[in-house]
Amino acid sequence: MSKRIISMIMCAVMAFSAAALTGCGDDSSSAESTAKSASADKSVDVSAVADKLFNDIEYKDQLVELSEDKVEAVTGISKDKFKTAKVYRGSGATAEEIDCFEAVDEDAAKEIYDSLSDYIEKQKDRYADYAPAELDKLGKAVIVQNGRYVFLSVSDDDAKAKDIIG
Amino acid sequence: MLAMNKVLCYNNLGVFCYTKDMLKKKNVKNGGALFMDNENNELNIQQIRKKRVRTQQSIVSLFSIACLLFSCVWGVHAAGSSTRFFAPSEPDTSSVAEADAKKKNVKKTDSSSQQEEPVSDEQTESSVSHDENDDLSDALFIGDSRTVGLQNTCPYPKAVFLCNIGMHIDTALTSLDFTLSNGNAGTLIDAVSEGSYKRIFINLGLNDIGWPDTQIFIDYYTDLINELKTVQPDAEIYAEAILPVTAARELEGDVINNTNIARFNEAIEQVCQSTGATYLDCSEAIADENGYLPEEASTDGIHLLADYCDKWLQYIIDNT
Repeated sequence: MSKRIISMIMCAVMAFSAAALTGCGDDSSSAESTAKSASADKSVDVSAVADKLFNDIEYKDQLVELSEDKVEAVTGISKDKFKTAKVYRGSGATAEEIDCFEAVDEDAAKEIYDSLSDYIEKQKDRYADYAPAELDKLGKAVIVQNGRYVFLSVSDDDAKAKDIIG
Repeated sequence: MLAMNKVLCYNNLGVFCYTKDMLKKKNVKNGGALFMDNENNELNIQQIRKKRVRTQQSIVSLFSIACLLFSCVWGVHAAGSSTRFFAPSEPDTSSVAEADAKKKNVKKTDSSSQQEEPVSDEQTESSVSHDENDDLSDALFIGDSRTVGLQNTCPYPKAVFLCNIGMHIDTALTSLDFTLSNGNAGTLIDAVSEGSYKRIFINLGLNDIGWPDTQIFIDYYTDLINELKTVQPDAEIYAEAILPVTAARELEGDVINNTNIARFNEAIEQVCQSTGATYLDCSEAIADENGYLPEEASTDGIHLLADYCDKWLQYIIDNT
């Protein structure tokens, strides 16, 4: 009888392990969607993420941080959609930039995400004639929404940007 | 214990119980390799079965322990990676220090702190004439990528910028490249109509200086100013001279050079004479003694970095 109980416990452990292994598989194939659910209720310091993108990635242009009262005018994203934001923009020489937002809620975050996605598409049109070399950066622009948080990074190093944003 | 009319058979898959009648039907004979009917053999079989069960249990146990260990390690790893940026906002002191160091090296990259920068004696002398009360709240800036850079560094949030990368004079009136207050796309004039301005600054032309004939440029520029006058009749319109490029940029040998810029600046002056707009040449605020944009002013020889945008903007404030 006791052997049966032990066997059942063993089976349960194996089933749990199998589930864990399946989870690992998901992690590598759809990192973004995993991050979304994992981070939905957790606090993110968007300023720290923006600074890390600024410091750890090499840019050709000299990016400047926008003052808070200019974020709405420059990005076109309404102030009532976000709690905090940190945005770095350049001199106009390149398409490089960093935009990090903590939205008021997930619906607002989705709107910010859509707005930034549209903006990147417009930037592709603008740079297509003006500076085609920048299209490569725009083509691999990293736009991520994690719950209430939205991140955009346009740089040569999209892999590092993804790693930093998580 | 098995009944006498039952026998045990085993093969490599396990132990089975058959009746003698069943075995007869299967044509298994007495004394065959799989047929045993005495007590000793039964004991041997039981011992073998026990051994086998023990071995199987050991294998399953080992595998389970291995799985458990793996699950623990995986769990710790997953928890560690997911909390990298989701830990409550305890600042990363090393990255903050790096950010501070970077800001010191580039002198002025944060537009919000521009007015706190220490100024040299020379700058102090010129700042005596600065209009400290001018917050550009009545000003509209229209332009191309250079104006985009100016917008990014401008410390005056009330100034309005309608500017785009790659903006051309010939499409300035027609392209639907501006987002209006209702969320729709509109033309430049649609966007200008939504506000009220006393000063309008135009900085266009750099993307058009490859044109062989300046007359078409003059025509488009004139149309633009006339349209602006229509929708903003009380505004003074300033047509800015195209700012110079660096000597290194000129050496690249394409149409972007200071000779072409000078040619198109003459055209802008003509437009101003015919339309009554004010010609505003900010070059003296940013150019070196040879009329070039200094090399340190730009990363690509064209677009002004923050320090030089500040000089450009200050010149505008002081002269309008």
